[in-house]
Amino acid sequence: MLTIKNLHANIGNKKEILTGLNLEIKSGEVHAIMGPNGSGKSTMANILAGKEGYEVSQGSVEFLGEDLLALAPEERAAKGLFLAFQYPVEIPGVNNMFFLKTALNSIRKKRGEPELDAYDFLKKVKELLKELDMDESFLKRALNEGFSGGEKKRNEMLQMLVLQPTLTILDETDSGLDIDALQVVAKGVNSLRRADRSIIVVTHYQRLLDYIVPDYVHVLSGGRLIKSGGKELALELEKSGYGWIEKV
Amino acid sequence: MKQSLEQNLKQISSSVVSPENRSVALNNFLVQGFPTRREENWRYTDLSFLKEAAFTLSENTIIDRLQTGFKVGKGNVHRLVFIDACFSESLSSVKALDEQCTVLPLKQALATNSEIIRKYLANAHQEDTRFLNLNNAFMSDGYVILVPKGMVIENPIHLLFISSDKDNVMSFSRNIILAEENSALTVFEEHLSMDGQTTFANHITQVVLGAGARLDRYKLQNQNERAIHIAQTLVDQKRDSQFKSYQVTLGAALSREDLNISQRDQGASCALYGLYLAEAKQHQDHHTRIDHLAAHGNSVEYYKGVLTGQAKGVFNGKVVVHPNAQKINSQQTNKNLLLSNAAEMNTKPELEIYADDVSCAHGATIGQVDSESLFYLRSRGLDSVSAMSLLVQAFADEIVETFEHKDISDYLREMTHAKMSTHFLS
Repeated sequence: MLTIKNLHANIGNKKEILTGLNLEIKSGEVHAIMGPNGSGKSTMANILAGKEGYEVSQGSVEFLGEDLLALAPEERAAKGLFLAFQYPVEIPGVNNMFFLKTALNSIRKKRGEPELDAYDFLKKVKELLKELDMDESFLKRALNEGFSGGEKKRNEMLQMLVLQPTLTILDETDSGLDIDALQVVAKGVNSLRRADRSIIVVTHYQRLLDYIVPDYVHVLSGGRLIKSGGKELALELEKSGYGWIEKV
Repeated sequence: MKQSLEQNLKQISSSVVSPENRSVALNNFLVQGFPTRREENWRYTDLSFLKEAAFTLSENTIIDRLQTGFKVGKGNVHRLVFIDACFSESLSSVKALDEQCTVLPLKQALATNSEIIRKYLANAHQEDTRFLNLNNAFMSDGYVILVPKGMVIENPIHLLFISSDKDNVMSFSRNIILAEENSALTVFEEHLSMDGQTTFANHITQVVLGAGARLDRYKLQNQNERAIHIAQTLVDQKRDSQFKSYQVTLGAALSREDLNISQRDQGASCALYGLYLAEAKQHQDHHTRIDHLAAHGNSVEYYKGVLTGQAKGVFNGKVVVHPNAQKINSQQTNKNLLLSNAAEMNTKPELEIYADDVSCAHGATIGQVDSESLFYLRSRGLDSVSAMSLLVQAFADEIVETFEHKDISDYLREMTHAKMSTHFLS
């Protein structure tokens, strides 16, 4: 599904942040990417989603057979890529419900699918709200405006469940969540798991991986993967920290 | 322009001002001349081209269609229509208004109520008297609204000014709103053009709010891309009166709005909201001045603008707290969004405070659409034009959402969205 080959990236010709990242993700797999602060985790997530301001100096990213880096962010979304942001922006004046509907219908339109009418959409969203333990009043509020950290993360999950992405990237979705919220989020993510969908869980801590059990765990350090293994690698990291691996 | 103005003056047949007073007014103006950019108040708005221009007054233009899409959901709309500042009886309708209340064109009002109206006409006070003199010389007509003590007018009064399709027409209207003690009303002034001709319009509106009176005034300036629109609104507030002003500026090649408010007695409050959208080579200038002359006054001001193309915007908000006007609360904000490199915005909040126990704040910003927000929306599938449009609309809607009257608010939202989708985001 996703093939990252020898990816090098920097911000405006300054220090290189990704220094030769290689990653292969097949359909149906869940990969966890762990690593200390500043190792390049968010940079990788942002580059995959198409954020401006990064310069890719070498390497390639292929997503479902296409050159991902050549696509606009909205084209990536239409192909099924979704990034749950670490810090979702607050957008005053844009109604949450209107935004969700516009996002879904934009994607459906680009895929040549019929747009959902207001009634069907509302029904679907209300079910998802219940699943995420969110109040219906969320829909009436402005997009993320005045949301607490946990509310923002749940709102990201709501968008994810509405859009049903093929490849989901969770960028530190667990940070700032209490244990109850963490379980709700994990339940939402797990409901998405399917043989034709993949998930990348970017996290600092092992905690989230108790609930979203990965097939593979990678350690990102200094802009590239320095160790890969099964889910037990996360437990080792939790016990011994990143120090021992970085020394290897 | 001098010759052409004098020529015009000779040709006025009947008028609300005596011929002697007209020529005195014109002579005063000719001595003063048009403002120049050397003056601080006109630093960013250049009227020098008017010296060379030759406009003529126009009367008796008949049009058969209202031009406006404004409707009132329930009940009657009270409407006065002016074409090149001349009253159009056939397009106007003032239904089911209380007999005690006057909603009339100036000429008719003078015939019935001349003393009080002449008194107000003579009492228009403004530091800068140039346009007042010009208006005194050339005013054709205007509206007069007198609301007696305690009366509340439920439906809005729609005041529609249309510049006709004749080229190089100038028009001058003079308007009076007098709301007596504890009365309340809503007016909606709308300014349109029939066609793409060059026109010059000047509108002077005098408002007096008696103790406890309330006025909500909406103004939409949506003239064509060659129109010149210069308006002064002078508001006098008595004790505990409330004035709300909602300004929407979309049209004209050059527009200048002066809104001056004098809070003369204690407890008066005003709230001024404004939205301006400028594209191509449009020039939109908003000057406001609030004089707090008595204690316990309140003023809130929030203007927002979106500019693109080579448009130029000016905002100048002056608040003067006079000596002994204690316990004043005043807030002023101006925010601007520039969508192109060539668009220009000049903003200047001014505070002059001569009292010591007051709370005044002001702030102004000029910026671009936030790139993080734009990326967020695009990452969810919105293309860049839709994402941009959503963000710009959200920015502008913050002002539209302050509009309290539902029918007017719906109409103004529709007009602003129409302008944004055709000129800003394609």
